[in-house]
Amino acid sequence: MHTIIADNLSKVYQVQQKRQGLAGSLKDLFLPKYQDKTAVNNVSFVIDEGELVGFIGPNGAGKTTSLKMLSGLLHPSSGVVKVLGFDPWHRDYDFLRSISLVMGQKNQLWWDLPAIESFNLARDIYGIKDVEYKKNLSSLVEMLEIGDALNVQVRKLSLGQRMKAELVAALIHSPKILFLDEPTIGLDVLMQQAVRNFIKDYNASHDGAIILTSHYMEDVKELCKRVIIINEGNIIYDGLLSEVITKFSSHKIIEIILENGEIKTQKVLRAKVPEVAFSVNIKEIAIEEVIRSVFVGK
Amino acid sequence: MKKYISIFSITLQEYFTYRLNMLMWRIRQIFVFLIPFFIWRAVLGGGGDLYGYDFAAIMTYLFGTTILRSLVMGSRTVDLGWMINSGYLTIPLMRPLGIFRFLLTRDLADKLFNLSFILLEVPLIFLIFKPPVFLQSNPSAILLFVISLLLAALMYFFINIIFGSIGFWSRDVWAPRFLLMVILEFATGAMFPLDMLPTIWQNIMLMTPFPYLLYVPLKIYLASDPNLYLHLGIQLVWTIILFLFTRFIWQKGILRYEAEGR
Repeated sequence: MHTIIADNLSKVYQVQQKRQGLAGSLKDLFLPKYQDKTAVNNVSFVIDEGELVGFIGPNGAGKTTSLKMLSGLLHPSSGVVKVLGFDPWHRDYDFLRSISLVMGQKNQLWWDLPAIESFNLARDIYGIKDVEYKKNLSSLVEMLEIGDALNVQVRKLSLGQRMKAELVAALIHSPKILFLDEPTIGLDVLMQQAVRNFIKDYNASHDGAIILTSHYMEDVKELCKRVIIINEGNIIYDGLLSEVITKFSSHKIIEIILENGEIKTQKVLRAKVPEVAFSVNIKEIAIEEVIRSVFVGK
Repeated sequence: MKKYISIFSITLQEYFTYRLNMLMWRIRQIFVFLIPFFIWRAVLGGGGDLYGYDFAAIMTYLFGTTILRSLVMGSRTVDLGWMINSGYLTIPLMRPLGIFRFLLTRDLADKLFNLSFILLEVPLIFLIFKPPVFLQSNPSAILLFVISLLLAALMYFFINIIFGSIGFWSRDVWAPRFLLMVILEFATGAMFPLDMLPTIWQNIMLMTPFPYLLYVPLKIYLASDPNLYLHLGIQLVWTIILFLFTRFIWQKGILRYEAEGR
């Protein structure tokens, strides 16, 4: 059985249309105009045990909305979701104990209290046994290197430390399924790397699956073998990251190193590239560029 | 159960982080008593009575509503509308928690917090203003009062969820709240005893849920409610209606929750 199943999943929001100007605002007061906005449109995919899948797409593509439906926060407008056999929307305690939703932009820690208080609260809420709690906590603290931040008021922590503390709070109950929404947003390069390493280790050492969204291609390149590319609520690609390039880019780059060391590059249609080219480097176009061009609609 | 005890304790811990805030809030509570005190002293301080209340009786009443108010109307659920609009609601929703139980636990923490301060403030007010205090000694009156008090606290809890749930449909959660606050100020009997009103108005008011938050429980404590059982019955019915309505509106609203900003 698949760990996560999404079948024809859609989410339609009602958005109030603001008219222009003061007269428009007055009109809005009495006759608000609503419009349906499809955030996710008939999306289907399955994810299996052990997978670490990247959701990529521009802002407003429907990544976060999809994650929210998978975690049971949003009620799908239509379609079916099953996560570990549960219907997320019912938010069964057993389901909630097996998942975690981490949103990089906001925190769930108690702002005015030291982080350790939030962890202790999580222990009681999830009913984690003391022995297990101590074991999980010390291994998370060690992996994320935040031992010195535990007793500091959360508001006083740096963004990076806070993000790590968020991860501890989100993972203290050893969830099987992790939904990570922009886990590295706003972090510096070193901290991004630390969080990435951590996610990789977590995936390797735990059963279950991880879904990750990110704007940083580095995150995806390093972590995800499989990616699902979403644009305007539709899945436009679901498969291996390594095949994204061949699928969406019609060109290869031929690089010629001249005698004087100068490098000349030329984009050549994929089909026209000779099979064997002596002393010629043939490189793929950078994935960032490919994906960008996918969204521009080329 | 342990999870709710933990939430209870962390809610209290959070209060203690803001000492100045805490102090100011307590001072506000004393003013809540002082303002009507001085008004009524100006009216009745020289002797005489008004609608059957002399100065001593009205002071007993106000002293009572001040105490009841912080027990019944001490609540954290007032920020539910904000929780919905800011997306904060996501946190408890994503945890294995009963959401109503979570909200009620925070309310109880708030009430305990209030109660502990009342125990400090009441003797203080008492020493300074010496309002005549009526100590109920009849166990059955005390029992009925406690039941009425619990129902009142539940009613207020449900009213707050209903008003907070407006957040599922609209961003304007404050205007309805202010309207509610104004209504509560007089319709609960916090400012003056409702039996000062003409009988017809009293009867109309007693059809609404508001007098059952302060006025009726206090009257039961003072053993001066001639229709005690009728009023307890209406209070019970209102509690049930409010509960059913709360559940209904919540189930409708949560479908619309968008977890914005998170």
